Amino acid sequence: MDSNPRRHPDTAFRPVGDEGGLVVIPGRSEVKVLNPVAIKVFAMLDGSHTVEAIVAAVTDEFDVDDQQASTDVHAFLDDLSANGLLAKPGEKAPWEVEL
Amino acid sequence: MSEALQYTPYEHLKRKAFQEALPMNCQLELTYRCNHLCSFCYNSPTGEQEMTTPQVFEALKKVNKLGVLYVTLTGGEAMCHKDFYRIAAEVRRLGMALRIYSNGFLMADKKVVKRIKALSPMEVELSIHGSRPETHDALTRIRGSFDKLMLCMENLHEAGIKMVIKCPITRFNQDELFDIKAIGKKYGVQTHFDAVITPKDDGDLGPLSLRADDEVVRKYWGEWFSELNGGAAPPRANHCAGDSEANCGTARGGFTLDPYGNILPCVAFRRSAGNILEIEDFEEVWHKSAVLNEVRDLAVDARSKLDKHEDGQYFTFCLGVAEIQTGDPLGLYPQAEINAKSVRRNYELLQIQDPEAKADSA
Repeated sequence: MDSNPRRHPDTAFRPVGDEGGLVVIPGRSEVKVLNPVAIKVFAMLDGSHTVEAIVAAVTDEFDVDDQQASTDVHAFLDDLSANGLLAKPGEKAPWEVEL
Repeated sequence: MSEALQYTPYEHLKRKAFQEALPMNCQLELTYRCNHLCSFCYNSPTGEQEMTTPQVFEALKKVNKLGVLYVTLTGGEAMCHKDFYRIAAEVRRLGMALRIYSNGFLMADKKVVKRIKALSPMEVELSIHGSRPETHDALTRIRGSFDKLMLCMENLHEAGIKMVIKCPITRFNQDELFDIKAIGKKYGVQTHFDAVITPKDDGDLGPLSLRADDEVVRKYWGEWFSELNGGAAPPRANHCAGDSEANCGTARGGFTLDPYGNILPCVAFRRSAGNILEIEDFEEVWHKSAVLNEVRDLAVDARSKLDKHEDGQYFTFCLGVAEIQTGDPLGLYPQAEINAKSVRRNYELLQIQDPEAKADSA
C-alpha cells in the first residue's frame, strides 16, 4: 500500500455533523455510509498524509488507543483497496487524461 | 421507537443533513445560452454579464468549502458554455460528484459522449417533450431536436452512462405519455413526468398556457399514475421534503447559483441571498442569511398551512411558484389544488380497491 494513500479520484464525500458521512462513487452509481472514524480517515486520504499521521489523528480525536487505532485504520484501508476505492500509485482521473 | 431503529444509516444521515441544513447539492446554472427555444422555458435572462470561467472556478471553490456533495450543471443548456468541460472537470477535481441536466442535442455526437464519460457523471438528466418529432420539435422549436435526442439516448446507453428522463406534461404531449414512457423503457430508464408547468422566473405567466387539460392532469394523478411511474403511488409530499416539518428542501438540501452568481434558495424560489463572488465566508451566509432563514421558516409555515387544508396531506407545493402566481409564497395556486384533489381521489380509489377494505366492508 502507498505510504501516503489517496482515495480514488472518482469519489466524492461529505461528513454529516459528527455522525459519519456519505461517500459517492459516481462511476458505479453507489453511495456508501461511513461512521465518524471512517469518514475522518477518508477525508485524510488526499495523498498528503502518511498512514501513521492518519492513525495519530484518529487517536487524538476518538477514544481509542494507538494499537487499536492502527489495527482499525489498516483494516479500513485494506477494505477500501479491495473495493477499488484507493487510487493506485500514479493513477489519474479519466477527466485529467481524456479531456 | 427510537430514530436509530426507524431509519437506515443512509436515511438517518440524509435526515440529519436536512434538519441541520447541510446542503448536499448545488444546482449551477452555467449559462442562459441555449440551442433550443422551448416555449415554456422558465429562464429570464436579465442581460447582466454572466460569470466568467475564472469566476465560476472561484464560486466552485466556495461551494466545495461549504461541503456540497453534488454539483448539477444546468442552464439554459449547460453544454452551450464554451468552457463546459473545463468547468465540469473542475467540479470533479475539487472532489464533488457531477450531475448534468441537458436537452441532449449535442450528445447526439459520440465524440461528445466520450468526453462526458471521462467526467464520470452520477447521471445525465434529459428532457423529452413528445414521443414523436412533430410534438417534441414543436415545443423545442428546433427541427431535428427529437432525432438528436434519440441518438443521444442511444449513445449514453451504449457508453453505460446513467440517464434520467424527465417530461413536463403539456397540452402538446398529453396524449403521448405512455409512448414517452416506452422510449425510456427501451433503455431501462424510468421517465419522470412533471404535471406542473411553472411561470417564468420574471413572473411572466405565458408558459402556463401550455398546461395540460385539467382532465388529463386528473387522470395523470389518478388512473394513469401507477402505470406511468413504475407502480408507485402518487407522492403525498414534495420529493425533496422527506418526512420533515418543512414543505420542501429549499435552502436546506441544496441551493441554486444563477449565471450571474446569485445564491438562490432553490431553482424555483429565486430570492437572492447575495452574490457568491462578493462574499468571503459562504458558510456564514448559508446559515445566517436573513433571506435563507426566512425561506426555511416559510417552508415550515407552508407545511403547517397545508396540514390544515382538507386535501393537505396530498399536496405537492412549491413556494416559488406560489409567490410568482399569487404574490404570496404561501398562497395556494390552482395547479397545486387540482393536483392535490386528484391525488386524494386516487388514494380514495385505491382504498376502495384494497382487498382488506372490501373484506371489512363485507
